[in-house]
Amino acid sequence: MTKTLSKNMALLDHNTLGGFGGVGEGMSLQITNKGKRILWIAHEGPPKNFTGLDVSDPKNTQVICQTELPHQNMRSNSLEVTGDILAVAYQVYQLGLEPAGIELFDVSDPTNPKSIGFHSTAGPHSRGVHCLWFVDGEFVHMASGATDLTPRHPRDDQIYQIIDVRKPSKMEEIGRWWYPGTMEGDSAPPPERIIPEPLDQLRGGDAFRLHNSNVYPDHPNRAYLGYIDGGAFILDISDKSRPEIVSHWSPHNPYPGFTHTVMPLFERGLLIITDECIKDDAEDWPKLTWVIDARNEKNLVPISTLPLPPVEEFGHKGGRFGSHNLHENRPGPSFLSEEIIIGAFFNAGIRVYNLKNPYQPELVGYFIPPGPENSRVPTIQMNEVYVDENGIVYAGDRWAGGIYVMEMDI
Amino acid sequence: MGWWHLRYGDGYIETLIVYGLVTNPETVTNEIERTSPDIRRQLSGKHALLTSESPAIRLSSPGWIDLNTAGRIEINSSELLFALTQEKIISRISPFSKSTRMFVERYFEFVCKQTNNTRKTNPENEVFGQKDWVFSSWLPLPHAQILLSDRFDPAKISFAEFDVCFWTGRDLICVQIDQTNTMIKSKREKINFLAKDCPEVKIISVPKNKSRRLDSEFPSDLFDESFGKFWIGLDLPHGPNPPVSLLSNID
Repeated sequence: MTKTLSKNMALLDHNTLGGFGGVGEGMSLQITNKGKRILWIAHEGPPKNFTGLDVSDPKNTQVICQTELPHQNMRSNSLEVTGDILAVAYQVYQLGLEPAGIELFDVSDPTNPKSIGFHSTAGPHSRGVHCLWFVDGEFVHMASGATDLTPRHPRDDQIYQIIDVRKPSKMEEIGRWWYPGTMEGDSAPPPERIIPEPLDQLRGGDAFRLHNSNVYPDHPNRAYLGYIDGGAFILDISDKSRPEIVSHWSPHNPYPGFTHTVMPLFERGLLIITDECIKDDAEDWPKLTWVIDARNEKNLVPISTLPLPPVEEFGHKGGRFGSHNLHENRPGPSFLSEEIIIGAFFNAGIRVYNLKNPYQPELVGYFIPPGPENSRVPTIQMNEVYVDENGIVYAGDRWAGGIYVMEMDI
Repeated sequence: MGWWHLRYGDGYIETLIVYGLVTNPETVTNEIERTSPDIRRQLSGKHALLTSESPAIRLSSPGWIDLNTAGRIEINSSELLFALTQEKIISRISPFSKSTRMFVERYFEFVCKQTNNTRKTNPENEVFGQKDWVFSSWLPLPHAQILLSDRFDPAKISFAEFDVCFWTGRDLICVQIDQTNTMIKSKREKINFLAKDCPEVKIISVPKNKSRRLDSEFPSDLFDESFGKFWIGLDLPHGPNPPVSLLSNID
């Protein structure tokens, strides 16, 4: 593809992050005490740890900070900033390696992040933290392996953990939950695999492990989990030390697995659930974004999916094609909407939907730039998206394209 | 000429309000346009046509409620009729709009309270009782979409959206219930245009702290005192769908 395809979205700036334009699944906006707006960006892989991008002028963004990972056998795929505290997830590529866990940084001077605490989840069967959620300044909710756990299947290692980070130098796990039957010692039988894959690869699908865990401060008693092949869970976490299942919904099988994000729209009684595409060339098509009627949170009913462009047009352009991350209505300097849903759909770009009628979601905008230079695939691979309170959209390419800054005209 | 050529301004309002469970207001507009002006209804279960001369739209206004004959015969008390009236309005609220539903439910409680607690000077008679005045309260129009003048966008028909509207015969009260949503540009521009262009429009935003209490409390302090005294100017109350002979003698 040689030109940008777009509808109701205009590019304001494009920043390749100094040649390290592989963007992971973490993007979070800080407004400093001097009024600067800093977008913190996680990277898909080494050598970079995280990047601070000054987006005070969204038409002229500037890298002001870029840090290195301790070694090359790890990644920091996810991060979140609350106030001046940045939480970063560390995941290693081989079981038992370190550092695996989360690190907190004081970014009050965003040009010079200072480590203020580290919580290790390293262990013989752990690869650390893949994804974290930190929006209240008090608790990190995350997908991580644990020092003391042995999964029955090597890819089922990352469970839901709640970490009290109120004392950054002494972070403490205060709650955990995993899919019943996935750990040694469980009384429940192991879950039936959805699409079995070889055991010698840690990354990828065929996994009953956690991906996203969303907990909103206005509804602190509920955790919304995307448990990959295990589907979506709502947990009651009113007692954080004993999370309990409220309800569970899974389209797998017959649909291919990898539930990624479960985003509640509280006022409307809806959930938006994404199944991440994890294979190139539509090998795992269709990877959908589901709209779920959750008015009765104990009886989740799918009512529609967000319409995607034709697989015959996008499936074989190169790279992945399908759902992935959403803008998650997180607190902070963030776009909040229960009608407008914005998602990253790999080679189908950033797509904006109007969910006014949840039975018939309507595509109202999209932005699909050309495949970036030096990418592993010929297409854009929109991996992550964040939208600020002014409707400015920040999107990241998975391999090389860095950050695309866009304005919605909807 | 379409309805979207109607004009506001200079103290004059003439427009269409589409309300209820309507996913595309243009379909209602087209329907109305296809109807001969002689038989065009001013008020139906999904629209209201307004001019500055239009009488207030009340629960008792004819046209919005579909009561079949059998249903009316079975209704033998004001309480039952009021319950049915509430049910009819609430059925026009999206099941995915919790706050609008709560707002309307609390509104009905508010007008009941106003009716019961505020003594009218008019004595009760054999036909009407005190509680019948509740049917004189303003009809809430949920999910209201207000047709904008073509000066907003000559190229296409446009509507400003509100959670609930009321027409009091003097003011078009447009309620936005704060759900902490970031308003998108197109929606904001339409509302701003309407507010600027039409002096009868009064926009009331229910802030977050009050919208959170909608499960128990109607935010009456956000409205003028006259909003809660809906009987003023009326001699007698009547229920929805009254006989035509009665209508000619009242309101």
